[in-house]
Amino acid sequence: MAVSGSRVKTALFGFIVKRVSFLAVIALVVGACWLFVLPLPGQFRNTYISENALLPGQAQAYFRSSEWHYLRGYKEEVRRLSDKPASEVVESLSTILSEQGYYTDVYHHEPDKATVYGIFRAPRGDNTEAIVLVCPWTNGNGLFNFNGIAIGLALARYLTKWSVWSKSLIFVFPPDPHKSLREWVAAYHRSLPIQAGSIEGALVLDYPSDLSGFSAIDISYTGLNGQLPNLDLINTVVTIADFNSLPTFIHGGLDKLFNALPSFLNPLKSSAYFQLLSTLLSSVAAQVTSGLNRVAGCESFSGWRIDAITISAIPTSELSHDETVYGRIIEGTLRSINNLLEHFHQSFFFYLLLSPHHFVSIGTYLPAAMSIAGAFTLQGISKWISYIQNGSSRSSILKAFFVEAAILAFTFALLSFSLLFDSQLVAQMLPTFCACIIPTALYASPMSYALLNEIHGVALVLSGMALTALATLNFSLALVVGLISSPLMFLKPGINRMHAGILLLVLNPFFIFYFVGMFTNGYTYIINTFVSSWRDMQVWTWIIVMCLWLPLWEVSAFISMANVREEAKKEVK
Amino acid sequence: MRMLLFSWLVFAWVAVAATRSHTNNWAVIVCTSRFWFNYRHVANALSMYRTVKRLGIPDSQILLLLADDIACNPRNAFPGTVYNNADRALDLYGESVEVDYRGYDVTVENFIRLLTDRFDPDTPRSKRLLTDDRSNIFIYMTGHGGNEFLKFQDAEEISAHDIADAFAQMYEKRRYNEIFFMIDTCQANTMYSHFYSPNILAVGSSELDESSYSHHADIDIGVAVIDRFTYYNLEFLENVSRTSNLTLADLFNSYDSEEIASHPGIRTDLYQRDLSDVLITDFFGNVQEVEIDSSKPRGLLSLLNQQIKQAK
Amino acid sequence: MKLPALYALVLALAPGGLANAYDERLDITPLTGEHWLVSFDFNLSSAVSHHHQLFPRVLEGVLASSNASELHLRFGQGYWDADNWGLTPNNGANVAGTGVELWARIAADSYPDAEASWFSLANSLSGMFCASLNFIDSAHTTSPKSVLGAFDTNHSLYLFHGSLPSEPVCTENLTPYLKLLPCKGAAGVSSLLDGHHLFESQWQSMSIDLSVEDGRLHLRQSIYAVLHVDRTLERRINPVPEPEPYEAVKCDSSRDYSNPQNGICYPRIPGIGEINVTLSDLFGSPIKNGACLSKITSKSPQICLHIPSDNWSVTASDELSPAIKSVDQICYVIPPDSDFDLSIHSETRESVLPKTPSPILASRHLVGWGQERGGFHSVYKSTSGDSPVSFVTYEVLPWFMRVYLHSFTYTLFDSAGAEVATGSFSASNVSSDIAQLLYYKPAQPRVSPSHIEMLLTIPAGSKLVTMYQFEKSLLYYNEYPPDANRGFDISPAIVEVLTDSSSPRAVFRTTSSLLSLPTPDFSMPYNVIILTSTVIALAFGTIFNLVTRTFVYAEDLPKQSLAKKLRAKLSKITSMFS
Repeated sequence: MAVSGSRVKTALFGFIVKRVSFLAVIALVVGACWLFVLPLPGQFRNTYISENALLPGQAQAYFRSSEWHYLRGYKEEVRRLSDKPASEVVESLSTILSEQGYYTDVYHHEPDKATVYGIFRAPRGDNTEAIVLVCPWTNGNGLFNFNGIAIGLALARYLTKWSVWSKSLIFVFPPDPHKSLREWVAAYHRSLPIQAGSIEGALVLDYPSDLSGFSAIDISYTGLNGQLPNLDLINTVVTIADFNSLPTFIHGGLDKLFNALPSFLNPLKSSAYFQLLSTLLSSVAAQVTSGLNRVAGCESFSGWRIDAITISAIPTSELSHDETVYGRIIEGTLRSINNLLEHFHQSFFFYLLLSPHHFVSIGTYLPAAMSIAGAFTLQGISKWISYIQNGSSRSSILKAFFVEAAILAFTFALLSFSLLFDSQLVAQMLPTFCACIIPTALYASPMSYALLNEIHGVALVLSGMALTALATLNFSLALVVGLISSPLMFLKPGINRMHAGILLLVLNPFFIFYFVGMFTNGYTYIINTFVSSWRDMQVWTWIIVMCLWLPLWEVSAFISMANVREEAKKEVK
Repeated sequence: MRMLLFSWLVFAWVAVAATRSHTNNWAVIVCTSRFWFNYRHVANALSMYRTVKRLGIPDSQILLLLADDIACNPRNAFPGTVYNNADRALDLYGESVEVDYRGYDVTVENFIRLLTDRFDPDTPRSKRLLTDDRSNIFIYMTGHGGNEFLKFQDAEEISAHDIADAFAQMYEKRRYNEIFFMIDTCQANTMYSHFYSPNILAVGSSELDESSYSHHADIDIGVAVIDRFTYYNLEFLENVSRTSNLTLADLFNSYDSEEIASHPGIRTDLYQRDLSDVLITDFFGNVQEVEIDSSKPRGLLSLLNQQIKQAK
Repeated sequence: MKLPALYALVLALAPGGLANAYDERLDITPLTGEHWLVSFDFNLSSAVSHHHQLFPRVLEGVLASSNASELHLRFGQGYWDADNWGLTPNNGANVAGTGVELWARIAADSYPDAEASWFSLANSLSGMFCASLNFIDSAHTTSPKSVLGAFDTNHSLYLFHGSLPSEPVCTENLTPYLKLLPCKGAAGVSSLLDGHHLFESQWQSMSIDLSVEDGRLHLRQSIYAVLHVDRTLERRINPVPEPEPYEAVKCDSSRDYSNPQNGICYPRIPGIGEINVTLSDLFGSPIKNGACLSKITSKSPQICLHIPSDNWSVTASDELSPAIKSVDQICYVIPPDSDFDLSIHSETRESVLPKTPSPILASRHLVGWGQERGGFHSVYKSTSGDSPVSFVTYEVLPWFMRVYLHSFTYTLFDSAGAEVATGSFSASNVSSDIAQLLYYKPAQPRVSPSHIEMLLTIPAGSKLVTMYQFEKSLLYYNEYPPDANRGFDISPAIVEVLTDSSSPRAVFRTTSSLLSLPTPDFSMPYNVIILTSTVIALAFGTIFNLVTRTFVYAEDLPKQSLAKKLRAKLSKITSMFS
C-alpha cells in the first residue's frame, strides 16, 4: 500500500481520520460489553492442575474420628477465652502452642495489639521454607472466628504427629486479618527474632461460628493492587473439596447478587450464563475493592510473592459437612503444597474466575480494559487532529502541556493534603478544592478553541497511557475507572454549560463516593477507607483516583467551562 | 593328512567362535526424573536394581543413577524406604544400597561419558563402566519421554540418536558382548529405533503416540508407586532365581498389552541369538563362564572337547 | 606417589607393629521429655604401617593419593534446637551442618598443586561415599583462616574447605560409612545403626575425622541423632499416624470440661509422664554381638545413659548390673557374644539432666524481598550471665550473591532490650570493640565464592544483631539447576566460640538458607526464536519491497488496449529466449 510522490491520496486514511471519534465510541462500547461475552460457551476454559507435583487429594487425610474429640476440647477453650481481655488471650494461645512443641513468640505492633505466632520446624527438612496458616481472632467481616481458631489449634497439634513436612509450619493468630496481619508479614521479612525461611504459601482459616456443620466453602483470592495467587493453589483447594463432595464458591458466590435482583428475573438467575457472569463480575468487584472494604486476610500477603487464599466456611446448623471436613481440606492442601519442590510457577498469575472450575486468562479478558484505554487515546488523537487542522503553533503545544502539568501538580497537592490531614477534614475540603477549577475556568481569559482541544487531547492521551499501564497490573481497577470516567471524553469546549455542569457533577469522584456512601456507611467513611488503606495496606486505589481520574475530571471541567475566544470555528475536514 | 588337520583347525576355530559368550555381567540402571511426584520412576529403577542384585550382579558391577533422593526425602512418610507396591511388603532401599550418580550428577553428559568411558581423570572407579568385550550389559532407563527423546530431570533431553551413537562407540571400542536395553517411558519404542550396532536387544514399554501408565498409588505416600510395564516385568522376574532356565522369550511372551495398557515393542534385528536360547540370567544374573588360559600346549582333541563342554 | 613430609617422617620413625587401639561407645541422653540424643562414637588409632588390619585400606589409599594429612567429612540433616537442647555433643567438634561438608589439609609445593590434589580428593570421596562431592570445584572451595583448626598449621600444608548444603543424606551414605568400621556394622554398638531408624530422626550428623598424630593414624567416626521418642514408638505400632481409637485419647483431666464420653477432650501435654522404652523400640533391634568384636579389641563397648537416676530405672538383658551408677549416669559394659538390650522406664520422663547451654545462640536468615537485592540478618545472643563472649564467624557465600561489606551494620542490645551501641564498617575502619573483620575475600564470578571471617565480642547477657546487604546476579541460561524455581542453597555459617584455655571451644553451625534468584521462563528461548523469525520474515519482505520497487498509480500508467498488452507480453517472453 506504500505510495510515493507528493500526491497523498488519503482514501482509507482520510476515512479513518474523519471518524476517529466514532472509533473511540466503538472501542468504548466494545470494552464495556467485552466482559458480558466471556461467560458464553467457548470463551472460557476449564481449570486444570498445571503443576504435576501438587497431586491434590492423593494422600489420605486423617483429621477425623478421635481428632474431633481434641477439636471439641479446643473449642471449649476458645469459648472460655472469647470474652477475656486480649492480653489473656495472647498468653493462653502462646501456652497452647508451646505445649505442643511450637516455638512461640508474640509480636507487638501496637501497644494494645499483639499477634501470637508459633513455628513448627519441619522434622526432617532443612527449614528454609515455610507454609503459613492464619487464624485471625475476628474475620474479615468483623465476626468472631470461633471455629477457625479452634480448628487452627487442633491442626497445630495434629500436624506435629506427622514427619512428612518438607517446609516448616507457621501458625499465626492476629487480632484482625488486615492491618495486624500485614504488619506481621512485613516484620517477618525484616526483623522477627525467630524465622523459618521464605513463605511458600499461606492459608487463612475463616469459620466464624461454633456450629459444627457447614454447607460450603467460599474462596477469596484477590490480593492487593491486582496481585493474584497462582491459579494452581485455588485449583488444588477446589479439587480437594470436590473429592469431599463439598460445594465451593468464589468470593461470596451468588447469594448477594441473587437477593438483590427482582424476582421476575428468577428464570434468568438459574441459567448457566448468569451464574458464570455473576461470579465473573463479583471477581472483578473484589479486585477493585480489594483492601478497601472487607479484607479477607489473603490480601495481607500481597507484595512478597506469597500465594495466599482465604478459605471461609459457610456455617449451617445442619450437619451436612462437619467441621473435621474443613480440617481435612486444610490438611490436604498443606500436603499438596508440601509436595512442591519449587515455588508456584507453572500456572496462571493473571486470570479471572467464572466459577470454581472455569476461568479466563489475561489474553481473553485484557482487551476489555485495553479497548477502553484505546478509546481514550483515540479520542485524544481526534482532538489533536481537529486541532492540527485548525492550525497549529509550537507555543500552543507547550501551553497545553503546561496546563496539564499544572493540573497534575494540583491534584498531587490534593493527594498529599488528603494523606497528611485528618479524614473528616479531608472529606469536607476535597470536593471544594477540586471544584475550584470551575470558577478558574469561568473567569480566565478566553482561549482559542484549538488550544482547548489540544489541552483536552493531551489529558486524554495521558489518561489512555496510564490506563493501559494500569490494566496490565490491576485489570479491574483500570476497567472500572476507565468506564466511569469515559463520558468525560465527550465534553467539548463551548458546549452548553448547564449540560456540561450536570455531566461533570455526576462524574465527579467525590460525588460518586457521596452517592455510594448514602447506601453504605457514609461518605466520610469511604474517604477514610481509601486513605487508611493506602497507609496501612499500601493499596494504590486512592492514588489512582487522585492522580488519574481527578486530573482528567479537572481538565474536562476546565475546557468545558472555559470561555472560548470568538473566532471562526473551522470544521474538521 | 594336512587337509584333515587343516579342516579340524577350521572346525575348532568355528566352534570357538560359535560358543563365544560373556564372562561378566554389568547393569546400568537410570532413573531420569526429579521431584516427589516421580516416586514411581525411582521405584522402577530400584526394583530392577534389586532384581539384578538378587540374581548375583555385585554392586561394583552395577551403576545406579537416581536423579532424586526419594527414600530420605522429607515428604516420605516412611523414611529410608522406597516401596513399589501399596502393600509395602518389600522395601527396595534396604540396608545396603550404592547409588553411583545421584541428584544433579545424573545428566546426559555423564550418562554418555559413562557408556563411552570418556572420563575425567579424577573419576572414581565406582562411577565408571569398566566393561570389556565379554561383558553383557543390561541397561534400564525410566523417566518421562517422548518421540525419540528422554527427558533428564525436566531440564535436558537425550535423543535416540545420541544413545545409538554411544552404543556404536562402545561397539568400536569393544566394550560389550551383548546389550539388553529396556526402557519404560511414554513412546518408549521410538528410543531404540535408531540403534545400528550389532548384538543389541531392545525392549520398550509403549509405541509411538502411546503413553506408559502407572500401575497403582499408595494413599499414605500419596503418589503412584510403580509403572505398569515394570510391574509386570517384575511379576515375571520374581520367579527367576540364579539357576533358573527361563529365557527372554518366556519373558516377552508373558507381556499382555491389555494389562500393561500399552504395546511393548521388542527389537531383535540387531541381535543374533534366538530369544528362546537366551537365559534371563545371561543379562540379569552374574553366571560366570570361566575361561581357562593355560600356557601348556594341549592336544587339539582335548581342546575341542573342552570347547564342546563349554558350549553345553 | 608422593607422600607428605609429615607422613614420611612418621613412617620412618614409627616402629612397625604397634597394637591397634579401638573402642566404641553409645551414649543416650534425654534432652527433653520427647527428644533423646543418641551418640555413637567409634575411635580407632593405628600405627602407620602397611600391616594394620583394622584401618580401612580405602581411606589410607585416599589419603596417600591426595597427600592429605588430615581429613574431615560431615553429613548432616535437620535442625538442632540450641535453645532447648544446649550445646551439641563434644562441644560441636564432630557435628555436621546441613548437607555435606569436607575439609582437609593437603601437603604440596604450591597452591595450584594443592588445589589439584584437593579436587582429586573430593572426587575419590564422591565415589566412596555415594555423595556428589565432585561438585566441590573452585567456586565452592575456600581456605579458612581462623576456624576449623586453621591456626595450627605449618606452611607446607594447605587447608581447604568445601560445603554442599543441598546434598541429601541417606542410606547410600550410611552403607560405606559402616563399612569403614572394623565389624562393618554387624556387631557391637554399630549394629543398632540402620537407615530406617537413623533417618527418621529429627536431627542427625555423621562425621569422619582422620588425622595423623604422634606416629599414629587416628580415625574418629561419630553419629549423633536426636530421636523424637513418641513418633518413633508410634511408628512401631502404626507407621502412619492415624487417629487413636476413641478409648485411647489422652485427655487432660484437670480441665473441667474434659469429658471423653461426650467426646470433649483437651489434649494432654506431650512428653510428660510415664515412659517405657527399650533399645529395640528405638533402633529396631538389640545390640548384636558376635565374635568379630572380641577379636578386635579387649575394650568392650560401653553404653551410658545420662539421666537423673533417681527418677529413672534401667534394666539390662540377662539382669546385668551397671558398671557405673551415679546420680547422673548409668553405664553398662556390653558383654561379648550375646545380644544386649536395655529397658528404660520412668514415671516422670520430663525430668532430665540440665544441659550445658551454648555460650551463644546464633541464627542467620535472609531478609528483604524482590529479585534485585536482599540482606543477611544474624542474631547472636549471649547466654552467659557474667563474662563477655568472643566468637569467630565464618561465612562462605556463592559468587552470585554480590556482598557489599560497606553495608555491614551491627546493633548491640542489652539484656533489657535497649539499644546500647551500633556501628558499621568503613574503608578505613573494619575493627571496633564489638566487630572486627578478620578476613574478607571478595568473590570472583564463577571462580571463587565470597569468604568473610569476623571476630565478634558481646558483653554478658547482650544480643548482637548484624546485617549486611547483597545484590543478586543473573546467571547464564545453562547455569540454572533443573529445579531452578526452588532457589539456591547457601551454606551454613560456622561459629567458633573462643574461650580461655581452661574450657574447650564450642563450634556450631547456623541453618542453611535458600536464596531465590530471578529465574527465567525456560520455555522462552523457543518462543523468542519463533517470534523473531516471524517478525524478521515479515519485516524483510516489506522492507525489500519498499527499497527495490517503485509504486506508480495505475491511472498514471498509459492506457493500453488489450491487444497491445498481449503483444507486449509476447515480446517479453520471446526476448527471454533470444
